[in-house]
Amino acid sequence: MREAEFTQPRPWEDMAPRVGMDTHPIWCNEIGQAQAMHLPSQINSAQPYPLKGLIGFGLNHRMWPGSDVMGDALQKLDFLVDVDLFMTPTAKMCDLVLPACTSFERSEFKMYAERFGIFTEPVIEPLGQSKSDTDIVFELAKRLAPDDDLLSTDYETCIDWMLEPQGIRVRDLRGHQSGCFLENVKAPPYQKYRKNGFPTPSGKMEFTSSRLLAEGYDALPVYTEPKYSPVSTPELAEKYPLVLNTGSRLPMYVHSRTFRLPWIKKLRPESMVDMNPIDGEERGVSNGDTVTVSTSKGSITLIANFTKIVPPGVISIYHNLPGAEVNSIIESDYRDPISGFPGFKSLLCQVVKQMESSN
Amino acid sequence: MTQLVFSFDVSRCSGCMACIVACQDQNDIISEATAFRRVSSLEESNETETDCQLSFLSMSCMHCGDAPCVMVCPAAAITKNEAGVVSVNRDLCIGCHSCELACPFGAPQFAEDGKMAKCDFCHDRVEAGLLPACVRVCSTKALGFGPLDELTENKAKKASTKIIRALLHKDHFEEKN
Amino acid sequence: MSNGYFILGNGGAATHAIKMIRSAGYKGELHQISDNTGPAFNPMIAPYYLKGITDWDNCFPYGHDFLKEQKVIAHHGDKVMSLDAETSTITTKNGSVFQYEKCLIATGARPVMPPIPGLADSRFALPLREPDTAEKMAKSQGNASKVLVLGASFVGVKLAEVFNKKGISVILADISSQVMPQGAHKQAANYVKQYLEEFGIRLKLECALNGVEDTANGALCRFPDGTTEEVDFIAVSAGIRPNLDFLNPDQVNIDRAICTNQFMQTNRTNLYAAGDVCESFNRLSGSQQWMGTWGNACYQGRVAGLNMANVSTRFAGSVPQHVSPIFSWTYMQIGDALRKGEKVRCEEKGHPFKGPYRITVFDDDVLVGANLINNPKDLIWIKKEINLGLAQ
Repeated sequence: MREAEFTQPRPWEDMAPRVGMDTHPIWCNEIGQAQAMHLPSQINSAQPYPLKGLIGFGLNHRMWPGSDVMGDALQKLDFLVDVDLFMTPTAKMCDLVLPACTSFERSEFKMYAERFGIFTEPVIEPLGQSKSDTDIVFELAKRLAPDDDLLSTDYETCIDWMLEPQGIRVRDLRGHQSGCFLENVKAPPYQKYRKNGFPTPSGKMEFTSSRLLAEGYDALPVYTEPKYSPVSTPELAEKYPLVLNTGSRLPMYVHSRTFRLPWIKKLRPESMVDMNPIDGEERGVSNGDTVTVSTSKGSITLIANFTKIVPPGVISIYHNLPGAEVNSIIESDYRDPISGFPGFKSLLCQVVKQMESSN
Repeated sequence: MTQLVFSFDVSRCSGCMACIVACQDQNDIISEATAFRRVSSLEESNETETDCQLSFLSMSCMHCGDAPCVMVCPAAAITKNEAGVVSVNRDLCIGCHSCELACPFGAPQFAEDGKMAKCDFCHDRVEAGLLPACVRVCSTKALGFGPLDELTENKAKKASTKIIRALLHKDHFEEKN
Repeated sequence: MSNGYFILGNGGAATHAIKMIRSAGYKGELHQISDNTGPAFNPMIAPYYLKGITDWDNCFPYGHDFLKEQKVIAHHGDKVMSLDAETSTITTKNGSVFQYEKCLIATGARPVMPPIPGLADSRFALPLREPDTAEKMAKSQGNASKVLVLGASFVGVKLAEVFNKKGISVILADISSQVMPQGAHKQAANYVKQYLEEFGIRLKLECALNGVEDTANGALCRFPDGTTEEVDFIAVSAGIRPNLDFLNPDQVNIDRAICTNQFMQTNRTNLYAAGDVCESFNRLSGSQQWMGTWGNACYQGRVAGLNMANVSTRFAGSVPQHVSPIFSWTYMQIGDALRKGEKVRCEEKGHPFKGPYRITVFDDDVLVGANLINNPKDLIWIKKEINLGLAQ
């Protein structure tokens, strides 16, 4: 199929099953991807087959629940490569780091909505030895798949090939620095489902999910308590009574970006845990005290930040805090059983004030 | 003299802190020194602590009418110009911190050279007909600036429009019932 | 026949009074009597001048043309010998006799020379308050290798730093058991002492000098423990006393300094006082106190000037406060951190060698005082809390 030209090199039967296919089949089939959260488990168990090497593009082991487990697993591999703009902690673990350039140093084709396209022009040449991600892919392809007629060309040629059915060429987009409106693009057919049905097993709108039913789950959405919660594990909750929420958003960060900028760092310089004053008072903690946050997996040290935007009984820790990696205190297999999505927002913990050392 | 002032619409501020970053960019503040603008939040929860209202306040130097910093500076290094902008002459500043002690708003900051630095209303930009950096970057238009009498007049107009609308609305309802 | 309005002194209070008198519309004769010969001098700046941070010119913050612009008749290089509050008459050293319609006493304060045998007569004893003594000290520090700073007041600590930075060996002595005895809590003072010692400044506390003897090159100081040290000069920073010897205490109410009301008037309605020479309202204690700071002097001078020009204004009083940069620390004190009593307790947070530090003093659970080191963050709420708990 034309759409799968760059994503599926061989028929399914000829390829190893996706990572996570055995544990999270619904995810893998529905989304058409491996469940990357399952990587450390497969590396460690070598089931259903061992993993020997990995090439990552912007790989960030700190993103995984049980980030230390993921880091250790990666280092077990025979060969680890990462492509990144920065020498991240993950890149430092690698056998080989291939520097990627930024979007200022390369061209990129991008569509906005259905009819607006742009082919960007770089403002400077790639710095140092860096290359665009796609150029790195082409360089690898020359060595790993030298017979592929598309990957032996270059970025612009491949984009031309992708856009050919629409009659657009990259050279027509060049020179339109702010992009342009594409007259010839065929819009998706109106009410196309009338002819082809919906992309579901029955072809119809499914109010009960036949896929879930086939795997033995409830066909209707049913609320299930998280694996660890005051309701599902009351004994554990006696030791770890607070619900731990992680990964909320701060306005100056986008995922793991802009953490390195001193201007941004100043906006919230300390590694803090957001907690309700009521929970603090119960624990003899004052605003600004150093505290230990612990789960059944481990503990980290943070400064208590009293706030009412977190209700009593819940604490919130942002990700990527220096010296206080909250993902390291989440078990690496703490995942939703169906999707494999990590339980970043629903586990149990306790907060304890750290005694000040004597002067 | 028409005093220049900042205006701030608390109903619009989302606490994004872009104003602080813009200020640091404009003033080439690096690393250790604090920014000239500060954003604080006010949290009000309901009785059962199940909901919380968040409001934000972005504040820099208030360029006070009768500025305490101007009065207490022993070196007369801080002055207020015709546009009402309070600024420090760093050649005269001795870094004694008296202004920091006197200011009710925490506006004076101290740079690596030990001398005072603070918001100067981006007077270079304003003189060139541009907006102060913080006002320009504010995406919700919470921050504004202008001459005091103009802003006051606009505020009065807005308030009277609101009042009139509320009165008309009320009459309309009373009729229906 | 009265000669008009008189301002005695030429510092911060005098300057602001003059400004206000003229801007409030007084067009009559405005005289100034000062024993200095130049423009208004700010003694606070002198240590920074010695340190090399600022020029000599900047010790005169209002510039040289101020008096001319304000149409002030200046009697400089003269001194008030007596003031008769009954007849509103001033007699000066140069023999002038003036009658005032209204008079402001803003003669400030002078350094105290502690009663140590030999000190007052020593050619090497240098107080620091006036332009001429500041210039003397600047010259002396150029050649000095060892200096005794007598009095670990704020000025004394500042001077110790100034000389230490010039490579001079410094002994900082005080009769109190701590540095900065006017307002520093002993725990904060102890940290400052440790910090000073890190730079090699030698602290001699609970130390009352036995005597001073001039030698050919310097002063030989005798310490109570029997030791002696020869120093190039002695910087005297042992406190100040108000310049009010020309007043008759039977006529004008004087406590530790001249007593004033909210309008900065003395007990005589046409006689005002402002600045380091007078007492004013302490909002924290609810009573009059002698609190000499540059900021206070300026505000009091302004209030006195307005009232003299018949614009009725009150001085709201102030909460005692002070800030001192010490090497790379910033030390602040607000309110009364030395309060003692049954219901008094203190809370310490942080450590000045590691980060921000504060010590807060509560009396019956009301915040009454604080010391802060490197702690701009806590300053605002502490000021607010103290204001909330004020006596009135």
